[in-house]
Amino acid sequence: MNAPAPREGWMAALLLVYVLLLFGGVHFASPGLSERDGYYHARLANQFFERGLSREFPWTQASTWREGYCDKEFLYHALMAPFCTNDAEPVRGALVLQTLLAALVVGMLWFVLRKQDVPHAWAFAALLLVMGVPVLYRMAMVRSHVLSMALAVFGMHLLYRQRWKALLALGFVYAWSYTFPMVLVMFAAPYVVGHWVGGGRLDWRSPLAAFAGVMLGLVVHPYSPQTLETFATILEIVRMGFSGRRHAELELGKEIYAYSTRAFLLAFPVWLAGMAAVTLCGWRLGRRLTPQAFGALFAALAWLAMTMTFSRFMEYGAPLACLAFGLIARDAWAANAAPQEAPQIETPPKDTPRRGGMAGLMRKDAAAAVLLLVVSAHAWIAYVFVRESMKCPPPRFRAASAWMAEHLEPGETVVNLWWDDFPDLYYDGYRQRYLWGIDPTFTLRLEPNGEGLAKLLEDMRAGRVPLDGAVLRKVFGARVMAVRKQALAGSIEKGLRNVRGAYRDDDAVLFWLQDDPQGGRP
Amino acid sequence: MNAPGESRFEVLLRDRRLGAALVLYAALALCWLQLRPQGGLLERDGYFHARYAQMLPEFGLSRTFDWTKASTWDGRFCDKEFLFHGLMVPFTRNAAEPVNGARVFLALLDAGILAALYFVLRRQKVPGAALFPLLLLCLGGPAVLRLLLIRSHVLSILLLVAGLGLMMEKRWKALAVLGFVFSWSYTFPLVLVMTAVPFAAGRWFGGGGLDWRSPLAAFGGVAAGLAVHPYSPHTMELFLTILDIVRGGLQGSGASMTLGAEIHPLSTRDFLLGMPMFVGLWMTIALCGWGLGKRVAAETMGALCAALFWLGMSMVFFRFVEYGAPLAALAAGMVFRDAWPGLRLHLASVRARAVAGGLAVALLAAHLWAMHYAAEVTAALDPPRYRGAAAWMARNLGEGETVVNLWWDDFPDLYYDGARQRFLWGIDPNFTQRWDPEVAGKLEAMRDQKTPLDARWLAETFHSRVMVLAHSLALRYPVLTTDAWKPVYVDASAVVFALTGPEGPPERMPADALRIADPDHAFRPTDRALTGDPKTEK
Repeated sequence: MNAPAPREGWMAALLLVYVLLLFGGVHFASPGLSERDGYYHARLANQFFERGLSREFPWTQASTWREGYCDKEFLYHALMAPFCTNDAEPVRGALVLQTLLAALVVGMLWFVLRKQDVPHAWAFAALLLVMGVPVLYRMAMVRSHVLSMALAVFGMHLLYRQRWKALLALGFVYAWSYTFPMVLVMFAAPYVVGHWVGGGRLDWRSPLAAFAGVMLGLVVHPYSPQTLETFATILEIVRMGFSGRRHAELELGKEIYAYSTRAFLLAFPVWLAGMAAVTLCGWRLGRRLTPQAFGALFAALAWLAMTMTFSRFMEYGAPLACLAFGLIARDAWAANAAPQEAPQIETPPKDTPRRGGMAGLMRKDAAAAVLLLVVSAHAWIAYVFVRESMKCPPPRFRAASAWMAEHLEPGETVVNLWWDDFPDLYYDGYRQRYLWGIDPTFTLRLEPNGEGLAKLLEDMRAGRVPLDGAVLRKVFGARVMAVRKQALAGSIEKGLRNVRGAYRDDDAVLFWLQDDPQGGRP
Repeated sequence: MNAPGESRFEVLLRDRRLGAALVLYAALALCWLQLRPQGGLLERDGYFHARYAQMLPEFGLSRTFDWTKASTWDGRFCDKEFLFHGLMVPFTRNAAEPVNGARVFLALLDAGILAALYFVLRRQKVPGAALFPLLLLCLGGPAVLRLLLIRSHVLSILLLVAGLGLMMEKRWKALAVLGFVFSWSYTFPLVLVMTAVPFAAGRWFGGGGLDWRSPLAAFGGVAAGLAVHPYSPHTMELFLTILDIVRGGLQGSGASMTLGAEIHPLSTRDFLLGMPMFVGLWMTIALCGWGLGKRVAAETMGALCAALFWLGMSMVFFRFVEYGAPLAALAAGMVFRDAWPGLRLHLASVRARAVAGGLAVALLAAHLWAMHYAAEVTAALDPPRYRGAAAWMARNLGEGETVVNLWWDDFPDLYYDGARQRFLWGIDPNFTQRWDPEVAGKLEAMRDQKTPLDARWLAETFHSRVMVLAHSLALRYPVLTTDAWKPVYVDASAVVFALTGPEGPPERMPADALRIADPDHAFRPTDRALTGDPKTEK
């Protein structure tokens, strides 16, 4: 029961236009990025052609990247580079790419569903926009996981078609595009198991090919063999995030942690309601799914569990759920599926159609009610998404970077106590060097004394030890420290020693470390 | 004897003796967990219930529970679990240690829950009905722990399972009676209505017509039970307090009072890791629905909806796993019944047997893990914390004299051994919040160290001469470890401070009294008379 092709095409086109307008509008209207890492990606892409394949990244002096850099998202940055040629504001170009990628994810969903003959494929692709506000946020981020989402959805298409050779190639591309390319294997494994449980043959080639492609891509990589060190670092991040324990008392990025169950329910009501509805409808309709759809459901459930473990995995759980919903709907609507009889126990179900055609009318009413609910849910989600995006601040260290350019030598190291200030600093202040950023684990793994450095910085940041400018100057050879102004509230400001104010604005504060009698330039 | 074409597994499913043995095993497992030496109670409220049941014949239907002086209970007491306490009375005759008998009572209630599940499912002709009470012990350690607590929700679980049996048979009159009984047994009897509504919706969705009578009867019974209650009309006051608690729990950290931990949700990761088979069961139900191609009966759909509802509620307040887990087990049984004719055909294939075998292994592992978890958590618990302090109070204070307990959740231990005295607040701070919000706010602020401890205000407001705290909690208050506050009694688990008199703190803190002592030696064992005369110092 497929919708007529031209109408389906028009609806899909309208959907994509809507996605472009939604994300494009938000990106260009909001004063800054919700996820600050986007500034790092934009600047790196801007420097892409100039840096080439350099394995040095001197902007993080206390990190494995200093001399062992690996661009874990090489293809992503390569894609972004042509958009980021504006040296003053490369993020604008990055936002253009990001808008296109968000549309690509939705478009890829539609493509895969259409190829699987899912009726009204555009509606199931559009469901991605209703899964929850956090999903929209994740899609709006200037980060490579959005490209990964599109690749993963395409990977599902190859899995459905059991095209393992193409999966091998995709795995290779994945390893060049994204930090954690094993995601492709983690998609393939539950799908294949579900496909087999659902009555299909055991397609062992596909996950194996995906794995082989990923490994090949990590080995034959512009940044080999550092790719393997980076892979080990990512596993360390996952392990630390999973244990909840803090290594060297380090606080990781929020996305590594889990929601409370209550917040999870409130963040993803449509997703969870959809899963509940799928559960009930399965037993109501008495249809068997094709092995393909069963595998899709299995994978969707597995990634729902993954999202419960690490909240950031909603970026895969949500599109997988859309795919599963679409394939289930396809199978449930299939004309040749006959409903099974309900067991005659005590109360035979009263499922005969009501008075002349009312059953059909009721189903249409129910569908209309569901549609209205879903559209209302999206309206609310989009409203919250837009509202909160407008609150994101612009680059925080712009004016401070101008001061640094005036008062410091090119390449001079500046202490950034907060590792997550790095993207903003690197974006505007790339003339200087900093200590750490993107993830503190890259500092933890620095030999010989990465743990000690990370602990020192983290203890000072958290106010566990007094913030001593003399110590920082001695250890890092830096004369200046940069801090977000909001971060100075509380214990940290009380414990400042051997620092002198150098610069202050509404967003940033710079301190001289240990009184420099001459001040300013040497 | 096998019917023609019947497999060995089907024979086993029909074997009632085997079924009874499985239920007996499950009951014995829970009894073992409940009755083995634990040292103390995991959930301290059990001490309150045990002592209250022991005193109930003497206390009668009094509406003044003056053991909590700063609470609506002092004058407007409502025994919200009247039948639960009434049923416990015969087991708590030992005045010295009523909690031992209370544990026997709870072991019987636990067995009752398993038996109720078994009988409801057998009435519904579920093959292998005994498997599903056992399933309850596989869904996660926290769910098992909820069954071990000496609290009335355990009785409510039993009543709810019975209620579901009545809903399935549309016996709305009996449901009304059950609702009445529920109101006399449990703090929040609307649980029955909250189950009846999604059950009715699910039944309607499953093609069974709209059974509006059952939820209405449940509601009517509950309302009648609240109105015609030994403690009417205070039952209504209590109901409003419960709603306050729920509202405070939803507010989370924004609430004015710090509530008990059970009111708060877990992280999704802890939920998954703590209850893996509970989550896994739902995923299995979802998959089987689309894998077997079977429709379920309307009452099964009702059970599924009710169980899904309580799964959602467990995510809002984790404590509701106490309903989520048994209802999931019950719904799984009903689904199994309806799916079995098709499933038994599938089981002929190697693939299905492999999957079934994998599930069986997973269930066994989950059961062992849940039991291990519950056993570990209940292994070495603190005995009643204030036994020594209560003996000191009996020697030094008058009967009925009020003692300030700064932490409301110390009350059960204090009441258990120190029922000779009176205290301020306990069981839930909202009873104090409703009694006097200003006083409640001041107590909470002192407890939470947002304001300094004001001995004079405590003494004058509550006519009290002493304050008692747990030893470990007293160490959290730096001022209590200084020379200004000299404890009159100290043992390993409790510290008692005088609020007034020569042993009490000075009105003005001397400047050098703010030395923070070494926490390891802040409180040496002490037993001094309240008059200030030093007695033997240990």
